[in-house]
Amino acid sequence: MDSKILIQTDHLYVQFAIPNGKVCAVNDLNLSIKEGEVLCLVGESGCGKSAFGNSILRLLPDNATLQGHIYYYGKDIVRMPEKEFRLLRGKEIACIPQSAATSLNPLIECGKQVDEVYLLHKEKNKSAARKNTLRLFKMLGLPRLPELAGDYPHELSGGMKQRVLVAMGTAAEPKFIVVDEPTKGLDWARKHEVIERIGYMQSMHNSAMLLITHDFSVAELLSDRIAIMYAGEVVEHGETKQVLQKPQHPYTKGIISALPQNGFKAIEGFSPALTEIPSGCRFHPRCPNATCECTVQHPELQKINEPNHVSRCLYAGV
Amino acid sequence: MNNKLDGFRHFCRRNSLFVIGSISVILILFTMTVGPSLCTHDPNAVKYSEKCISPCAEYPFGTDFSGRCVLCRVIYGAHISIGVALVVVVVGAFIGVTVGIVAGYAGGAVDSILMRLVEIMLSFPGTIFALAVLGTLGNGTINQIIALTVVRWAHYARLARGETLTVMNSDYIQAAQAIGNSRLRIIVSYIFPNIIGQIIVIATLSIGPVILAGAALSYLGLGAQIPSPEWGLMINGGKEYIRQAPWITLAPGMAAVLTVFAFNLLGEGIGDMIDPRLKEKAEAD
Repeated sequence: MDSKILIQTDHLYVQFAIPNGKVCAVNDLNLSIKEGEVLCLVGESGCGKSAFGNSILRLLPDNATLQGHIYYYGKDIVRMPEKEFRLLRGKEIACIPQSAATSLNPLIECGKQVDEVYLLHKEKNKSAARKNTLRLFKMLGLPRLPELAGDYPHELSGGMKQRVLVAMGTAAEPKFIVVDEPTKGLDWARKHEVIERIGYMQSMHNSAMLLITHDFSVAELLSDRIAIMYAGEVVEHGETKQVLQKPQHPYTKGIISALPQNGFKAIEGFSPALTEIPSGCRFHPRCPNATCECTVQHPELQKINEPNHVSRCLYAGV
Repeated sequence: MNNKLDGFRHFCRRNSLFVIGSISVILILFTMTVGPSLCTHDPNAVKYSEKCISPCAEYPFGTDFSGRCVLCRVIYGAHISIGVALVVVVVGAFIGVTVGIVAGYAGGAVDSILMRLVEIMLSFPGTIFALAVLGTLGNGTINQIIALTVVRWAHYARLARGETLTVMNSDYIQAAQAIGNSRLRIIVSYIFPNIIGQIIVIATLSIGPVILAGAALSYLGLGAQIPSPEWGLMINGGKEYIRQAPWITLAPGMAAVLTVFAFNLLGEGIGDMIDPRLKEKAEAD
């Protein structure tokens, strides 16, 4: 159980410059992921999940600035020179991008795109790379092999494209994978298939994973721990079971009871724009239990009785 | 076998413009390369006893004011007129695409500087600017190529930059970065192949106008020099005889028209084949 810490963030802030100022998409993020562990980041659109994922990969747009540190095996990758980081990217830190439909180069056969990963990081020889690709495709349950490897992305279905992307992300057997919304735009059956395959690849290489999603069923199936994000902050963080069965933060409680199987009770109001962050607790305008104090005092993450379970609420554990 | 034939028929029917265009261009290029060896007359052999003969069996397009075979001259001239245009377009597109991709990929100050330069180039009327360049460099075919290239490259640069920006925003470029590709590799194997289609269309469509611009410069006496059989120069030479011997001007004129027409058909055909929406863009350029 005592595995090493792989990724650790220390007071991480991600800011985007906009025409009249700055917005803070990620605010004071302190998370760590151990070797082989799956951390799931859950939150609404625009709460900073993907910004965090992209900051680990250093693929943020030009108008973004990073403050704080991201340590990979103790080395700060925020300040690492681009040249040095490129050796890690793809080989040790990889990603499975969101939107399968557009993340494959339309002009290259899908098999060749996976070959590229092998050629960049492992193999020298093209036919050996193709052999590996085909083996990987077979593991991912892709049909019509080996002809499928010669197909162009537009000839594949959404689920197949997503699995090709899973192959691209895992081909180099990275130690850490950022998986951004792997089930976006897939129907229920495909979703389960893709999730199963991702879980399978993860356990086979024992890679650590940051899973970004807004789907609790995905989180439940794959993750060891869950962090809930709201308006750029982590509001609750704990082991998957604890968070899902005994949610502490009112926001977590709210989204869990908003799930279809729990009766669709939506939270009142909308999540705030990152330009208009409310004072005090960021959730107070929508919180059913908000008090006067909530409007002025910004809560820190508070420990709750269970180990490693924290919640950003003044009344946590009360 | 039959299947292949059917497939070919289907292809021809769907891309009729492309098929007609490429056949005409191939015919023209064939005439340009093989034609001179089939000519029975020397294009520059002056024979005053046979001047201004109207078209006949011996001289299908007649002879000019110095008794030279007009058909032979038009065929030899194709080398110069089309050759100049092809060189200008290829070199111009190469420079333009390089500049455009660099500007689009680098962004920031590099982009601003390069694009201001392109805008300055585009703000001059093309022919006038080419005249100015030739005025400083002096006459001649090589200088004509340089002048036309200087005018043309900016068009391709602007197009290439725009396409680069579009491609750069697509998710697969980010995915390519994420698997660990270097910058050069992303440019060469991701951006370039994804923009080259549009560049080819615009380049093919611009061969016609470049042929005409080249002929115009020669007509003004700034490009190829007498006694070269360059088409513009031939038209210029024949203009004084246009009443007695209109074939001297008509033949090279028609040759230019047909060539421009053929290349435009090909360009439109490629455009339709690659992307039906591209046509509007080309017309706006």
